Amino acid sequence: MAKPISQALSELKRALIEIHALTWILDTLVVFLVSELIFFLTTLPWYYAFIPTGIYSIVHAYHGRKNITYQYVEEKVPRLKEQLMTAADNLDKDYEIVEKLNKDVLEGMKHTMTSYFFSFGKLTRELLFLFVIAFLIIGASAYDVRFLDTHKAIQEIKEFSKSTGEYDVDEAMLEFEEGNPEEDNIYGEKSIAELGNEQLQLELNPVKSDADISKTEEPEYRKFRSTVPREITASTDASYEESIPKGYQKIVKSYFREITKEN
Amino acid sequence: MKIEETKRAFDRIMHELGKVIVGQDEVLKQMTVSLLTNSHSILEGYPGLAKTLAVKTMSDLMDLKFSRIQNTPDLMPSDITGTYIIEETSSGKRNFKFQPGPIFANIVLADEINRATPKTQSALLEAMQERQVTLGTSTYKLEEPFFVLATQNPIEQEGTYPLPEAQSDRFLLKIKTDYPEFKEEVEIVNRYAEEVKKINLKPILKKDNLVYLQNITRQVPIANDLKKYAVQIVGNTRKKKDLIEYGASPRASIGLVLAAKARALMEGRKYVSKTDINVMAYPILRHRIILSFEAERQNMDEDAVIKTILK
Repeated sequence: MAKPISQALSELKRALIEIHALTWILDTLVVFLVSELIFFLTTLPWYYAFIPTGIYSIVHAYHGRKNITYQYVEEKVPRLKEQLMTAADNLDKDYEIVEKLNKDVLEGMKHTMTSYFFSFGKLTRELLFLFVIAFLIIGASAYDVRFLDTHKAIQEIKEFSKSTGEYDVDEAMLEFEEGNPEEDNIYGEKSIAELGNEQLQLELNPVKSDADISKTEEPEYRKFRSTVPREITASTDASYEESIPKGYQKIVKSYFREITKEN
Repeated sequence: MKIEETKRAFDRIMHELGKVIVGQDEVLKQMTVSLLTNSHSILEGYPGLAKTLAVKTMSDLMDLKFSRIQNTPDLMPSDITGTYIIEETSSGKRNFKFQPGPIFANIVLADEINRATPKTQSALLEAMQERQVTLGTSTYKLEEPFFVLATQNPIEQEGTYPLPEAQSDRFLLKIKTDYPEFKEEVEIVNRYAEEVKKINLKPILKKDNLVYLQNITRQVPIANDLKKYAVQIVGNTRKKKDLIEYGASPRASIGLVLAAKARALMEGRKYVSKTDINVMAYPILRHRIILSFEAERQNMDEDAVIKTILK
């Protein structure tokens, strides 16, 4: 049959593990709910909250091991200071003085309550905090409160980084244009946007649009001259449409400027 | 004697010692620790600090055989261990008979041990270590319990032979006696400068009781963490090279744990506390470390260095 002190120490250890587990669960729950609220407000999936919760629970469990030791009990119960550890380390000895120490320790443990290891202030604060967080989550869900559309923000960041990467500015050309912007514009009028291969998708809100469909008229057919006047030839313009290598653009532009001067 | 009675017995010893010795509580406690651990101690202090009186009074409180050796440079080993003398029988026959020296006692006061020559010191220290005396081909066991309480003073080094480190290691404790407080000194003057009263001391501990207490002392339980702490302290004396040239040996670790156990028993506790180890570290280590030049340059003594180790 095991000694009474051995049984008492085993019970004490078990009680400490239970207390530690309860604290661990409560603390982890607080972290989970706080993470949940943050992820909800930032429109991230709710299950992402398991990541910080998991990390916290591991760290908490690791650091909480010291609360399952006899030193921790001695800190909380000064009456057992240095006695409990000594008794635990000398279980195999049956000297008279050790037996008397065990008796003293058992007597001290009788007066030790589980409440010694609970911080009721912390427990109350945690429960209150859980209550508040739970209500905040319910309220935010009901009113669809979102502080940040994370998906949109990420998309914008992605697009911004992509578009900035595609710009390839010819420094020499830029310098040239800056020198005489009006005269040296080889692409014609600035206000004309060139889409290139990009597709422009426009969506008109039928309610907010100024256009009144009921007032639209039938399309008017006009006849344009099919031929271009002779004096305006497109020979020079066509050269612009060709894909001139960047290195030659400057030369071509200078060439056309000189022709204009002669005229 | 029961365990519960030990505290009362020690309180009575301290009370009786207090009748003769004023103050010096810690010195008296450490001397008692020495008795409980069945080990030897060396008392160091300036002349006139009641070192000899303390040892003499302690022996009066124990029902044990006491002897005193006044060490001088001309003291011979045989003056301590004893020698063979010629004895004539009634029939006229002459035989050699062993005449035991003062070492054959339970409590031996070796006064001013550093005044004896190294040869005599060695004879004494060998007896202390082996607890036996060998003369010629015969070996004589010393009676248990056996303690040597030696004294020495740190001044007047002229004509003295300081104990080598290896030999001073045989003493479990080096107990330092300090000057008394002002109030204590006034009390000493009151007590001894007026009418000299004969103080009757009653023996408190008998031989059997003392042996029982010595056994109990070794059985006092200690937590594993505290054992490691004691070993760590001793180990640190070997690591602190900036202040300590030579540190303490594992014998100091054994002594520290044992002395802490004795102190716990004297305090009426059934377990060793960290305070016991911290308090006993000073008398255990101070004669086992050799300070470096750096420590001396900083005007640090052994106790100051031990204090830095305990921090």
